[in-house]
Amino acid sequence: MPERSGRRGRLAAAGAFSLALIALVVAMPAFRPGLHQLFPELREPIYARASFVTLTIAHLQLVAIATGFAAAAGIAIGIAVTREAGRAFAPLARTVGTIGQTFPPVAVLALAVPLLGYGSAPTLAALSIYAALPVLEATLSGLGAVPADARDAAKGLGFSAWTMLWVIELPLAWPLMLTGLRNATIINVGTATIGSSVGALSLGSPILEGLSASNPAFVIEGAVVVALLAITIDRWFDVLEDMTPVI
Amino acid sequence: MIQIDHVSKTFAGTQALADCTLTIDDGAFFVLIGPSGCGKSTLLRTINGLIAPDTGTIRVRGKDIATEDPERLRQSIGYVIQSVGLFPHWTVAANIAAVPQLMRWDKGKIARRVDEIVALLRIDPALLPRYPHQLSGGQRQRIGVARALAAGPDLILMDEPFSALDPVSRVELQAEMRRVHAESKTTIVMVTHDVGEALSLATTLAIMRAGRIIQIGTPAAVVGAPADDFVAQFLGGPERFLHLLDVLSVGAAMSAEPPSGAMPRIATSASLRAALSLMMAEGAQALAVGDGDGASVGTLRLDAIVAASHA
Amino acid sequence: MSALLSALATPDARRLAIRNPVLLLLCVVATIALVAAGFLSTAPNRLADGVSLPLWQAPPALAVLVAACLGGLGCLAIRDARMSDWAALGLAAGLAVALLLTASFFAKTLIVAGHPAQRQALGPAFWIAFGVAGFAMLDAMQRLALGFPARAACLFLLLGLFAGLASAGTFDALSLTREFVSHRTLFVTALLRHIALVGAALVVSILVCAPLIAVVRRGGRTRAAIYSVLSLLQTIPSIALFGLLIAPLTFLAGHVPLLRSLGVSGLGVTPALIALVLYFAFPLVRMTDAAFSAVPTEVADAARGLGFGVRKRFVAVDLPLALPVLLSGLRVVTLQAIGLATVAALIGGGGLGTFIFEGIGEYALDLVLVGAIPVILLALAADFAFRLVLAAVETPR
Repeated sequence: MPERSGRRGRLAAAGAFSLALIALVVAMPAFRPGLHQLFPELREPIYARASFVTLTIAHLQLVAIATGFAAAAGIAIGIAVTREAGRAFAPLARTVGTIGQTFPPVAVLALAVPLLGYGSAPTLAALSIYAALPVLEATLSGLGAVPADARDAAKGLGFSAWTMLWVIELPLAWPLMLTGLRNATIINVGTATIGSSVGALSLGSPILEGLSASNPAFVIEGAVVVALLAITIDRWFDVLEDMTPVI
Repeated sequence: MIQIDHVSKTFAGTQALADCTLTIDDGAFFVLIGPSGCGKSTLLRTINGLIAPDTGTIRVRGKDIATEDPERLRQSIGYVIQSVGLFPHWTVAANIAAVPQLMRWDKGKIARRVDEIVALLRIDPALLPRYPHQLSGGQRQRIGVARALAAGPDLILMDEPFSALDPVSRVELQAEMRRVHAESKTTIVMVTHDVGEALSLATTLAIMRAGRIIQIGTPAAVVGAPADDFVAQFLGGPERFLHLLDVLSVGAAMSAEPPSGAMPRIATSASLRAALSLMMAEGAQALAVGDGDGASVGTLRLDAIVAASHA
Repeated sequence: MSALLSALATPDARRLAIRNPVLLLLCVVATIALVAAGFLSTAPNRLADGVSLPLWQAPPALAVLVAACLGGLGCLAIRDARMSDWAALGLAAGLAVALLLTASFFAKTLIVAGHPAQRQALGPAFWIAFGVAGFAMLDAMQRLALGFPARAACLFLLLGLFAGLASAGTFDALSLTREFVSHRTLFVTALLRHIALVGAALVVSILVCAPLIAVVRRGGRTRAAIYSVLSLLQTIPSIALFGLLIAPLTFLAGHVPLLRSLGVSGLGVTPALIALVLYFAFPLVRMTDAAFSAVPTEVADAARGLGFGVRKRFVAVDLPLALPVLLSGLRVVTLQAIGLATVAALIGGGGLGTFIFEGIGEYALDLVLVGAIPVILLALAADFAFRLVLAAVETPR
């Protein structure tokens, strides 16, 4: 079956990228001699303020926590404004979703600084708020795409509002919601990188330090690891999408 | 089974139901018919509480539904709609098992019940693992009916269930419903705008117009004595009697007199329409009526057909 | 009398009917913010921690004006009045103006002579209430079902008022204004640089993507390969892509004199432009592909059947039908570009991001706003412009 082999291929790709990422992060110090040769003028060719293992974990933590908040908020608001009681708020939620997404993420990060100061807090807040928007939009369009006749039939057969949400509406909306979550996560990986400019520890730290100290080796190390991280996460979303039944 | 008492409903200034009162007996095949927008679907949807009336009461099995838990009530009533509304992410088997699942039957009981329903409605078991989008329109509505019957309700509501189907599937499913009704004695309330379908399925017919019930009666009674010109016109004008011939059987109109030798033969169970058609084809004024074994049991004359449609 | 009694007895009248729960929620949020959070903060200089001042310490007349607008909106949310939504629109606009005036005059009263480094910054309460005013206006416009021209008229009216107040020196006491004024010439350069970067990236990517689109439209294996490479590029964080381009470009500029004389270098505009083009390839190719795939085959067939030539068919049928999808694709790309060009400041690409990162680095928070607010306004303006064009070319279907 070609479908199954495609799935296995995507799972293998996700696994291979993960292994490559782990290997690169753990073995970073081993690249010292090579980098030394490539950039003989640098005294320190490997970013040393924090190990790449620490940086990667910190980066993943930022992304995971922020995406978790964003998913919870986006999905909860999306569900709330599509219920009978919250329907009045639906147009506003939709408008906030579209207008908010025209804001560049870096501008949102910058706005968080005057309000929350420096460090991980503004990064986390900006990431959470900004990433909630694509999740909200995807939840709204996913729930909106649930066929009206399936709702009518479910209600007529005696489904309670909760059961209908849980076994009919959310499963049908899930593929679109997953796309929203994927976008949110990828945006967060990128914005968390810039977050190091406001003092959050992330894989952006070697890049920014390398840029300000004219150390191209730092820049390359950070850039390669974070690019690999982003691609790896993206591949895992492929696998997650495969696990969602296609109707 | 159902008592509807002075029920009215207004939607955004338009009166959908105006003081409707009617009683539906246990085991009836009750058909609500009328032009589109007459309120027949609204009336149907008040019975399982999908629409709450502004005034009036509805009793199902003797209990006022306003005092009942709406979800329990709906689980106890089968529901079939024109657009079917199968759950697209569930297999056919899961769709059929929807209400038993809601009622938390155990797995073995659900599986046995699905098998029973599949046999009852002659569903190809190969369809069970498929998804709704892989079925034809007729197959889908057959599954829709199966889903409504799955928990063994004593009452089924059907909102124009066969209107969107091709003629072949429609006739098949009508026959299926007639059989299910005859075998199970389930009370069925159906809404339709198709006069032929209404007359051929109903034991009792209610005609609605502009939110009011104009006339209630057996198909023969309503066709024979329409309450007003609107009813007569809606049922097809003078041609309405032809619809009746579909419903009446040869057995109901024949006489016991032994047939003379050369008459064409027809079965007792055949419809009067088939009998009339045979008379026209053979140029005969009378037919010999035979039972299943080929023995003659009586004679059917043309004037008896005319008389039967006025009974 | 009896009519009144029976009216009171109906369930609708007995229950307190909330006319507009959205507006009510917004008013509650603004009220909480104005009561609990600082409206303005004042500090002797940039580095010192500011003292946060609440709204009620502002000049009373202005504070009352803000409270009156908010109270009026609250009443409109609960009770039904004639022309409620128009009134809400007016009051929300009034609230926005009142907030601006209050902040400005409040700041003026705080100025201490002989302290030029003193800084009066807008506090969270101001921003939240200002945002509420914006959302309340949006909500009123939605309830009134105002069309695009009416909304644009409202927007321009307010912008005109804002520009008038600004040129009259109303906002001069605010540190945001001071920061803006002291960077005025740099600001214009940065803004133009930002727009130029976005524009150049768009033009170059359209030129680069045209052959790619031709290949993709032909289908087959290459199509899948192109798509998978381009979508991979999309996931890479912008700053990482910039960073990855620095070393190879530095190497090229160092070893190919021609490139160096063309101005290619590892830092600055070159990597920014290349990275932007790499990012745009995917949305541009995919949207164009989708746009032309969306032309109904029966329409294309009919055109051929009527004797349209290839070129005529493209100009008269395919292009007009594909244009709306193409434009919405360009809209997405442009908005993304405005954000990416901001990040390009980190590698010396210039643009409005310069103020943001300089401000962050020097702890000059108002300077951050001098960069961030125009970036957002630029994105909103681009969005607005695209919607305007889209509304004009959209064919009824």
